[in-house]
Amino acid sequence: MNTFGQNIKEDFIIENGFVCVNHSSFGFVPKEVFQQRIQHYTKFLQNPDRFTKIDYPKYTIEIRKTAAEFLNADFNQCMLTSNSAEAFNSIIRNLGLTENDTILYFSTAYPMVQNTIQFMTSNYNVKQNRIELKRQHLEKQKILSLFEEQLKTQKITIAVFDNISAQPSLIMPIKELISLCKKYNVISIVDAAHGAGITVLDIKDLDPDFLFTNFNKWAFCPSGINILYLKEQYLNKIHHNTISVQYGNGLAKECEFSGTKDFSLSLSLIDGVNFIKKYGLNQIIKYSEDLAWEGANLVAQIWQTELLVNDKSMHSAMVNVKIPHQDQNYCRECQKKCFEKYNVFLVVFKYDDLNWSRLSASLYNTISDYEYAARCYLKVLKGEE
Amino acid sequence: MKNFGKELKDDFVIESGYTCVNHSSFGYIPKCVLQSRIDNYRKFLENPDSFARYIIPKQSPIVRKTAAEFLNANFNQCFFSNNSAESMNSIIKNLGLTDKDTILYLNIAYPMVKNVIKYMNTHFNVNTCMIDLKVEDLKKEIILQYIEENMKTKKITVAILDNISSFPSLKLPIKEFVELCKKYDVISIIDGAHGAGIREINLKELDPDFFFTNLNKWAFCPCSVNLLYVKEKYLNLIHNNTISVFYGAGIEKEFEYYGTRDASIILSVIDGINYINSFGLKQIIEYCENLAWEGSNLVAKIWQTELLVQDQSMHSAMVNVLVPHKDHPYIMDCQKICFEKYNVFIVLYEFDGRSWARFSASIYNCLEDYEYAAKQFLNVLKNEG
Repeated sequence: MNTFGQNIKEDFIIENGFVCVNHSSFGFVPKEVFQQRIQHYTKFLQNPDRFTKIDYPKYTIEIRKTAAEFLNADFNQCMLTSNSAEAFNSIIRNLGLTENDTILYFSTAYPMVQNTIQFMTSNYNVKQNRIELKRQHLEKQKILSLFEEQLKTQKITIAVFDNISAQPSLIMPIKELISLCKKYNVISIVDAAHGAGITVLDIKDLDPDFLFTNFNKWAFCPSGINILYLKEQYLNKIHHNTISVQYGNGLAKECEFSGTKDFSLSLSLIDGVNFIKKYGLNQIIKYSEDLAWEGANLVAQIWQTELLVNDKSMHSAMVNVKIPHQDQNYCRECQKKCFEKYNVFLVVFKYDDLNWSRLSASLYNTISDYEYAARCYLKVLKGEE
Repeated sequence: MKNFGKELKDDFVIESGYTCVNHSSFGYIPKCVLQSRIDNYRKFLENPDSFARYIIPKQSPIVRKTAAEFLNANFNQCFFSNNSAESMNSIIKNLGLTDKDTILYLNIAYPMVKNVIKYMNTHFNVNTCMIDLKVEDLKKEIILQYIEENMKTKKITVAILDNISSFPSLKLPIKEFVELCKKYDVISIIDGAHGAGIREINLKELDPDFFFTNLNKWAFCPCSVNLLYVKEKYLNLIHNNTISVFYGAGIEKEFEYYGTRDASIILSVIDGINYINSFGLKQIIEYCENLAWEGSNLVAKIWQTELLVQDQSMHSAMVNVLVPHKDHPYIMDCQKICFEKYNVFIVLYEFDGRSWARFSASIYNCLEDYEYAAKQFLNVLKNEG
C-alpha cells in the first residue's frame, strides 16, 4: 500500500504532468476504482436487460446499505441520485411550498441552490430570506447568531446550509444549525455536496430533515453519484424531480429508475468506500486537511497576501487565499493562461469585493504542488510567463 | 466490411452466448464505439476541470451539429439530455399549463409519458384526454380519425404521439399528426425515444413543436443519451427540468451542464452516427425491419398464434406476437425462467386483454435468433423447459 503524497499519485487516474490543486470540484479516481468501473460498465453494456432487471435491483440495495453504513443512517432513508442538483430539486420542489413559506439560506450557498430557490420564488411566490455573510461574519459564533436571529424574528419554513461551503470554502457549524432548526421548528436541509469522504458524517447524530452528499468529490467515485438522505416522515412526500416509469412506487424506486441511464455507475460507490476503508477515513481527512492548510499558507506567503480566514478549525481540505490582483476578469484570464501554459488549474472566485483562490488537497498531493501552482499563477498575473 | 447478420455479432459488445432479440430497450453498441467511449471517459476523469470547463463547451456544439444534421434540424434547437424522461419533463413542466389546458395522448403512450401527464393533472389540475385504442383500432386511418375527432370537439392545448410506440410497438403517422396539430392549433410533442437510427427523421420537414429521441436505442450510442428538439419560439420558455448553476443563462447552457455527471458521454454520439453512416441508414433500416418482420412471423408460426397487426408498413424493427397463453403472471414467470435457463430475454406485456411478445432486430441479428427464442419460450410455457 502506497503512502500518501507523491507515491500514491501513480495509483490515481490523473493526466500525466498535470498538477492538481483542485481535487474538490469533480474528484479524481484511483486506478483500481476506474478498472472496476470499466468492468461494471462493460457487464451492463453486454446485457442491459440482465443487468437492469436482475442484477441492478440487488445491487442498489447493497449500494444504499454501504452508503448508509458509511454515513451512519438508515438504509431505507438513503436514496441514490446522480448529483446535488437532482437531490436538491427533488426535495425543494416536492415540499408543497407556497407564498406562505420562507426559505432561509446564506449568501455563500452554491449557485445551484440559489437558482433553485429563485425558481421557487419566481414560479410559486415562495419567499426567500438571505443571510449576507461578509468576511467579518466568517466565524462560527457569528454565523450561528445571524442564523438564530432570522429564525427568531422571521417565520422561516426551511433553512438550507452547506456542510462545507464551496466559494469561499469553510466548514459550517451544521450540528448547531440543525439544533437551532429544531428549536424553532424549521425544516433543515444540509447541502453536503462536499461531505462524504472529507467529513465524518454521522447522520443519526446530526439528525437533519434532509442531507445530500456527492460521492465523487471526496469519496473517490467517478462523477454522477450522490446520496440523498431524508427523514422518514418525508418518504411519502418527496418524489424524484424527474417523473418516470416508477413515479408513485416509492422514492427509492423512483430514484433507482428516473429514466434510462448507465445503471452500472452507482456500483462505484462501493469501490470508492472500500478505497477509503483501506486507508482509513480519519487518516485521509487528517492528511488532506493538514496539507491544504500548509499548502494554502505557502501560497499566501508566495503571493504575499493572506488567507480569507485564519482559523484552521473552520477549514476542511479546501482553503481560500487572496489573489494579489483587483480585476476579476483579469484573474480569470490568468486562470486560463496558467492552465494552458503551466498545466495547473486554480479555482478563482470573487468574494466580498476581493479575488480569491481555493486550494484543495487530496492523498496524492504534496506541498510542492502548491508551491508550483502559486509561482506559476503569479508569473502569469505579473505578465512574466 | 462485414455483412449484416451473424458475422457482425463479433463486432458488438454482447455477452458471449447470449441470444439478443431485444435490441430496442437499451441498445447494444459496436466494440469500436465502446473503445472510443472508454478513451473519452478516461480523458474526462484524468482532468475533469479541463474537460468540463474547456473541452465540452467547444465539443458540445460540434456534437449537437452532427446529431442535428443527422435529423435535419438546426443545431441551435437541439440539446442533449440523459434520457426521454428528462426531455419530456423539461418540456411539459415549462409550458405553463393550468386547469384551462388539456393534454391529449394515446393509451399506448409510454408509462413515463403517462406518469408525467398524471403528475400535471394531480399537481396543476391540467386536464387530460386519453384515446383508448383496442386491437381493432391499430390502423393509421383510425388512429388519425380519433385524434382529429378529439381535437375538433375539445379544446386541446398539447398532444403527444410516439414516433414508434413501445407496447405495442407500431410506427405511428407522425407527419399527419403534426399537420392535424397545426390545423387545430395544438402544440405537438413527438416521443421519438425510438427514432434516430431506425426511422428516417427530417425535422425541418416534419416541423413539430417538440421532438425527443434516444441515441442509444438505435443509433449505436452507449446508454443513455437523448436529443431534445425545440421549435425556435420555445427556446426562451423551456428550462431544463433540473435547475442548476446555469438556470436562466439560456437553454443551451442549461442543457450543457446541469449538475455533476459524466461530461464525456455525448462524444459517443458522433461515433454512433459515423457507424450508421458507414453502412447507410436506409440499408440498416431495411435489414432490421425485414428481419423483425420475418422473425416475428416465424415466431407466430412456431407458437401457432398471430401478429398483433398484419400490416408490415405499420412496423419498424419491432413486431408484436400473441403469446399462446392467457395467464399473464404465469407468462412473466416463464420470461424469467427462459432468461435464466436459455439465455434469451423476451419482452412481454399486456394489451387489450391479452399477452404479447415484442421482437426487435438489429444488424447483428439473424433468423435463427427468433427461432431459438420462440422454441425455448414455448418449452418453458409448456413446462417442458
